[in-house]
Amino acid sequence: MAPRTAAEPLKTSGDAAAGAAAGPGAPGAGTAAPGAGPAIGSPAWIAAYSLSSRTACRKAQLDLARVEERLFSLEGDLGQYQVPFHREFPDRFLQIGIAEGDLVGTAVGLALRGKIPFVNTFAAFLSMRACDQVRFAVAGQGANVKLVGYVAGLSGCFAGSTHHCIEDIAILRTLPNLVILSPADAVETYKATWAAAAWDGPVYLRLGRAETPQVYFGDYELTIGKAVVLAEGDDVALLATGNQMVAEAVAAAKRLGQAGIGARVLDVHTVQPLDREAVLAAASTGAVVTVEEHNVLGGLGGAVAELLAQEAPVPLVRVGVEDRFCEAVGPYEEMVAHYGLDAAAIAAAARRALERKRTLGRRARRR
Amino acid sequence: MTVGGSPQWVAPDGLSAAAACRLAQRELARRDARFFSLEANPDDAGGLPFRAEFPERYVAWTGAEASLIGAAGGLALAGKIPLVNMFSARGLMRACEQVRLDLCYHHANAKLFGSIDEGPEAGSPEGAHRAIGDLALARSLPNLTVIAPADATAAYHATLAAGAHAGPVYVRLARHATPPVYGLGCRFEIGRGIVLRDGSDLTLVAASPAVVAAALAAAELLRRDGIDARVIDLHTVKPIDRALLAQAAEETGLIVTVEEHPVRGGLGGAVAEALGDDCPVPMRILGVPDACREQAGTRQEQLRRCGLDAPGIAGSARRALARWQGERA
Repeated sequence: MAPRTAAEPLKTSGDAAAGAAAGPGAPGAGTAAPGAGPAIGSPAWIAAYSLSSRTACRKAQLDLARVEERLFSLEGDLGQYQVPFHREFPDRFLQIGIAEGDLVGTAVGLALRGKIPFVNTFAAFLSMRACDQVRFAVAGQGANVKLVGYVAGLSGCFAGSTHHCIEDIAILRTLPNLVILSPADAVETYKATWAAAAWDGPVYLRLGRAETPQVYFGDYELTIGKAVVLAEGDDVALLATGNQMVAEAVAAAKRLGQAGIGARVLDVHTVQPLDREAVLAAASTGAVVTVEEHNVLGGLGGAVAELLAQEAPVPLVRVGVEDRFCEAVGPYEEMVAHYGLDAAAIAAAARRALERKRTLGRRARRR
Repeated sequence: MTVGGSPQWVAPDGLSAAAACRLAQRELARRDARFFSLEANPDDAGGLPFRAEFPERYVAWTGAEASLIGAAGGLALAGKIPLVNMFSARGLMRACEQVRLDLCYHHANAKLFGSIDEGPEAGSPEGAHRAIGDLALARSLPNLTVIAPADATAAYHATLAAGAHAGPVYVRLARHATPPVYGLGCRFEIGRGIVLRDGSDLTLVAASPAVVAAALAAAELLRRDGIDARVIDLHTVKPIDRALLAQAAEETGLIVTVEEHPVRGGLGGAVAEALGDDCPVPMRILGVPDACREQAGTRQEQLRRCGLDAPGIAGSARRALARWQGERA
């Protein structure tokens, strides 16, 4: 394996660095936007950074570039010019165009020369059109490239199946060295972008397209590989990942709570490496549901199934797209409901998991 | 279509799964004029018999997998049945998007035959021509049937079955010769696993060349310790044979999967998902650890280092049994 770039703290460039002087590598860092901005997650912050993960990630890259001179932003023609990275840092902005293989290859070259390149393009084209480059050039040599896949899941809605992406987690999860982050909302996306920049090695950041419900209303510590418990409960555990899905899981837990069912909710923002401790603790409820805007095969559900089967076998219901192309297109929220990913579907899945937990319990008692 | 084929055909000694697959492709072409052979590696002599007999149905584009798979999609939509021969690494990964959009999205009646290794004895580290994450990738693509036959004989029958199956199929092959599993022929049915050996203490579930034979040999080692292991050739990784797995889980209580693939997302992942749905019992996933992926050596050495040879599998099975023995009623 080629040597990785040294794990040194982000290099700050002069006076813009006041708010991030500790560097995002330090515990609790990556929390502050440089300068005296609004409190993260506050209404003023949302007004500035938006509810959309894709905008929040772009703004995070711009904030990072102000304090980290090694950061480059590479563009696959997503047309995100409302965040003026290209104007502020024309020398560190590269518009590669619709050429995903070259986009990733260029980023690898930059990374091997000690830069921190962020690759911005569609999740579907990053993970599938540039699949070989991501496998071989990025993951294969542990290059310090940050891959940002936008419009993941069904968020491409009207663009149809070509632009939907329900395969990326399964494809990328087999790769060695690659961290997979799938944040829950714009706030977490902002923090995940900083955490990705500070991480020494390749990271894939999976984002949606539209504005999605806010999950985090204040600052908190995001640690790569550590899931966040959003609600406590001992009857069933909902393990969710990604924009919209974590919010749907939280809403499902509220519905279940009204029916007297205690549902624990975990935001599994890091799909790889999976937080074994948190998942196994969730398995102690005896019934687990995974929730993802991804194929039910091979994604978060697969990762959790593999861990549970080997360490704590309990009934598992995987909520996701049922292994099909989603050709019935429409507004995002309608698609989420149509393909069985909304709070109602998650609550129903939780009831199925609970029912199977009870059946197994009865059988165990009979033995 | 009449491409059933006699289950009696047995591969001669030393024939690789990839070579047996070529014979079956020629057989398909003899029976049905719709079959075309598309070749990504013409310098691989495997395609020559097909070309000699059916030159007008043979297409070779060296190292242009994306174009080749696009052409396969076109042929399929025009009513032909293209058989694409390729390296899995290049066909599935470099041309991943074409596989997804030109074949799977259209439910195109095309068949992909991918080798996961480079040649008769080559045991190179994972690289341009060798990739082992293919099962996870193929499994995530809607509409794609995923098959990993256990030896040359099974590969022959799997190829005939793939030819008769409507829709896109990926068949995982090896170009090096592997030990025979089906010395007496093979009744191959897509989606139906084959119980190679009955047993009641645990079940070894394996797929693809080399490791199914190793699992059988491991069962023999376990028998000497008084452990009665069932062995299943789960050649169809998608759609997975849930009924056979649930039965094995109920009856033996412990499942050990064996695959030449990373331990995430492949056969082990598919089995874990099915068990979580139907019958949660303890399992152990044996595959290629990340640390082993960059090591070169002969094929046998590579499998041994990963613990995928018979002693390695038997040892892991014993440890899993010891770990879970107390908890199983």
